[in-house]
Amino acid sequence: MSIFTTLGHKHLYRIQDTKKLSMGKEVLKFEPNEVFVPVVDPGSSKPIQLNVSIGDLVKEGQVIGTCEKGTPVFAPVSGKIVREETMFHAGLGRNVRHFAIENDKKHQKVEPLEVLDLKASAEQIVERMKESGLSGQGGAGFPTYIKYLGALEKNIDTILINGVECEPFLTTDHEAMLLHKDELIHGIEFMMKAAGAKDAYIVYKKGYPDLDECYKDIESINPSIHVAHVKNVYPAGWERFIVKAVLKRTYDKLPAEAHTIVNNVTTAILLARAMNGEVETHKVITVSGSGVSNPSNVDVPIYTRAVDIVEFLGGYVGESVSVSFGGPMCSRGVMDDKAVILPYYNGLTILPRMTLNTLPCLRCGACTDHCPVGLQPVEIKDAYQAKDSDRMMALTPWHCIGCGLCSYICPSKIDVNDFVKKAKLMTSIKLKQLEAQKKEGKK
Amino acid sequence: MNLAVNPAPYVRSKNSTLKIMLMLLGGLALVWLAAIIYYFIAGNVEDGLFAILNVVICVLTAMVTEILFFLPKTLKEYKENKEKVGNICLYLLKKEINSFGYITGIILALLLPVGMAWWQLVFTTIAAVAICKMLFGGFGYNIFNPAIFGRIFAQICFGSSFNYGHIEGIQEFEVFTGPTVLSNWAGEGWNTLTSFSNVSLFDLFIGNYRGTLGETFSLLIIVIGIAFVVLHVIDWRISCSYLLTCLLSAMLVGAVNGVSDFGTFILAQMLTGGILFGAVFCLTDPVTSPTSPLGKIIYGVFAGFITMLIRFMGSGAEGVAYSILFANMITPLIDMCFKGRTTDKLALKASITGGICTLLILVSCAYMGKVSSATPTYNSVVTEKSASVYNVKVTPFANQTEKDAPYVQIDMDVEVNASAKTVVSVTVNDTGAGGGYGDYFLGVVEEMSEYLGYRQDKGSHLKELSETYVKFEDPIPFATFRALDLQYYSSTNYTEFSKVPDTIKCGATYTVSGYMYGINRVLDYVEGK
Repeated sequence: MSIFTTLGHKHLYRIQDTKKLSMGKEVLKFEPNEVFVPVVDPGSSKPIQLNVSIGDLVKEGQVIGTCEKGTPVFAPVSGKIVREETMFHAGLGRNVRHFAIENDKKHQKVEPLEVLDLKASAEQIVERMKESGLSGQGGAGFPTYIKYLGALEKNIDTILINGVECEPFLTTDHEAMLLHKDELIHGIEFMMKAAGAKDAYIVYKKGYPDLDECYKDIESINPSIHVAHVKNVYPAGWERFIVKAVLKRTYDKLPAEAHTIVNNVTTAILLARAMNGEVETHKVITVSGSGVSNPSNVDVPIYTRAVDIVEFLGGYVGESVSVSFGGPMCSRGVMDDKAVILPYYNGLTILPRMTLNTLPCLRCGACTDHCPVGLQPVEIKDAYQAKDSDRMMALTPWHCIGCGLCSYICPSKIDVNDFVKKAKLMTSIKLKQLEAQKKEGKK
Repeated sequence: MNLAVNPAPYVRSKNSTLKIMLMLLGGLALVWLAAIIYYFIAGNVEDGLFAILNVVICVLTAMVTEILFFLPKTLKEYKENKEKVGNICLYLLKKEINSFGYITGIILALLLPVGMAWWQLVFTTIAAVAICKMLFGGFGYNIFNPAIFGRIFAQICFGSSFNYGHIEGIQEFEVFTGPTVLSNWAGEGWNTLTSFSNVSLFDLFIGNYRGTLGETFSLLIIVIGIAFVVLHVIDWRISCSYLLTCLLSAMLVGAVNGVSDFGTFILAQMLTGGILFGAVFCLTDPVTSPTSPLGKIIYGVFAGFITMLIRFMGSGAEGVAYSILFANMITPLIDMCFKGRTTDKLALKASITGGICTLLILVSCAYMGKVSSATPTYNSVVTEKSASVYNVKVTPFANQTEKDAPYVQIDMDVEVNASAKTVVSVTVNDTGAGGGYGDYFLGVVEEMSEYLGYRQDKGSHLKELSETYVKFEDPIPFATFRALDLQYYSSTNYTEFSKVPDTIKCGATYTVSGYMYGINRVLDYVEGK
């Protein structure tokens, strides 16, 4: 009901045109001379438990170390660990230690894991998700196995496979859906088994005839897998949006409350490979935007430096560009293009620097009108600028999903989303304190 | 390579504040163009030139005022960093273009009538821009809509110049004076719709009558409003909730007072008094309206309610400007009331809004029941002065309060040709005291002239007409006429009057029918003898 509340989404301008830059092009293959493996836990930024040291020879897919929670870190190429280097980490936003592996380009692989087929139990599948280090490929890198832990008790009835890819420029999921249909279906079957779900939906946007053609016979291959469409809007790829659009269900915190699990298409494909014994060492990423000479999809080993990929594609266009890992809407631009591609990144957007003519806030309410979680970004911004913490708490900025739509839509070109994120940071600290006080009060 | 680290997102909407404002300017310019065309066709060259000049004066004054406000800071910046500022004039102009003073100027000019002097316009614009906008911090920080503030400022300071088509210094046109269609109507009682001031419903719709410069062109404003909603220049919630509230109130008043022509009454209520102009151009000003969707609806409902409250119960019929100012005042309150997410507790919020609306409707019913609905009845006393001349004293509104009765007592001598039972001449001795009767007087002259076979276009040749046919011996006290104008009405060269109907369709006010009533009673008296 958008009379009293918000629209919640927006047809971004030329969203299809931006995708055309890389869509349908041949996937290029790039082998860098060196890759740089960060030896810290991407979640907690603590050093990982190392199995190797400098000077060792590693093989493709060899476990270099294990994170705090037991997720392994793999070597993406075969070669020698030549040195240790402190480099910028795009996920953590600061400089951390990396191991540089010299790529001998011989693709010496380690012994693959044991092949599991559909007879495997749910526990085995979840265990394999964990030991193959599978993380959500949507861009956030949430470990997949956590979604499936104890899934059988949560009454999951549907798996939603997210192929929406609503960010402008990115096309990797689209390419993967076209190229790896069998693996995708195989992965979905494993997911349904692991969660005990009866149905699965492959969700993608309307207006892709090639995908429609490719998936029209899906129900004849597996009658419990269906295709569902969502509107071609942003952020249609958001979990809540998909669950609401396809299943007409809402939830408070996790999709499991609505008896569903949402996974990216690439996650499903990687799961199928993991069950086959392969771990993720290479991935296809979209390198696009008007700041790069030859926008295309590139197959690279993970932990390749962004600058190497851009050089492979002919270098930057223009003097000043912004480089962001992922799409241009959500992901934060990096200040150092020597940062590496992490396993869960699906794109590299390079755009010329924006020159924004920022005007005072018009108070038009367009941000409030478009916020998909129904926040009032303009009010949050005002409260933040006035340092009014009570008002900020009343406006609940911690619900922000960081989609960037408020900044996008702002006619005065104010970085509204930046203010909301700052307010979110401030209030979430206070929120935790309040919750702690409540707990103490109960005791 | 230089890496930019401004915050995400890295793609931005192509829409911009400047674009929105330029579209708004385009819409306003269309209204301005319509006004120019109307004043050139319906008025004369001077009218048309004033329609052009008014806007030019207001826009230039607004821009110069804002530039003067920017000047000290710009000079300081220029001293510190000459290269950044560059050409100081261009820099100031650029600042002004992004401060949108010209929008305030054009809206203000369209909200004022053409008859104002240039210095009045300049003073009004300076007051609006300097006090209401720049002192609050410039664009984006003002609490009240500056154009509306300016309009009310002008109404208070230069209210006597609000002549709607009267042009200072041009004698021939001074006769066309008087209040607007709406206040005329309000003065006569709301159920007199079909007989107000020579203006038909179609005229109201296309804007073929005089009001403020821009607010009369209803059809054009509706079209522009729809285009603005489609182009996201204005928020439909504000305009729609405002117009719906006004419509509902008008319907209630119509129903409670039992007006005969319900549909016409409602349409005329919606088309007069600048409701549409306010709904499209003034109330929707984003700076002074709430930000949340529901807040916008409440804001519109509130403004609509105040508009109709002032119209039906207040002293002046034009409540739109005041209601917008009131609504601007409660905007921060509305914004503060909306906490959390707009999707939270939707049912509760919707029911609260519904509750407020219902409450307003109930209050409306209560107050609108009081609006006078009685058709005036006339008392008349006919006395025989001589064989062919009869004196008649008419008291219109005899059924209304006592204190009104002497206020509008008409005293006239009617000369009759007894054999042919027609009127030879009419001499008005007293039109009754009170301001605002100048137009009624003109109405009399016009109506009479119709029955004399000399139907003239409004406002033209009135002098000649009145000299020839009707004699007014007593200048009208406190009327908007000056003694100078009245000296023309002294001739006694009359032709024959035929019997005229009591209720004169289209173009007569009740006071005018008072004259007609008196004449007819004399004719009845002669017939009865």
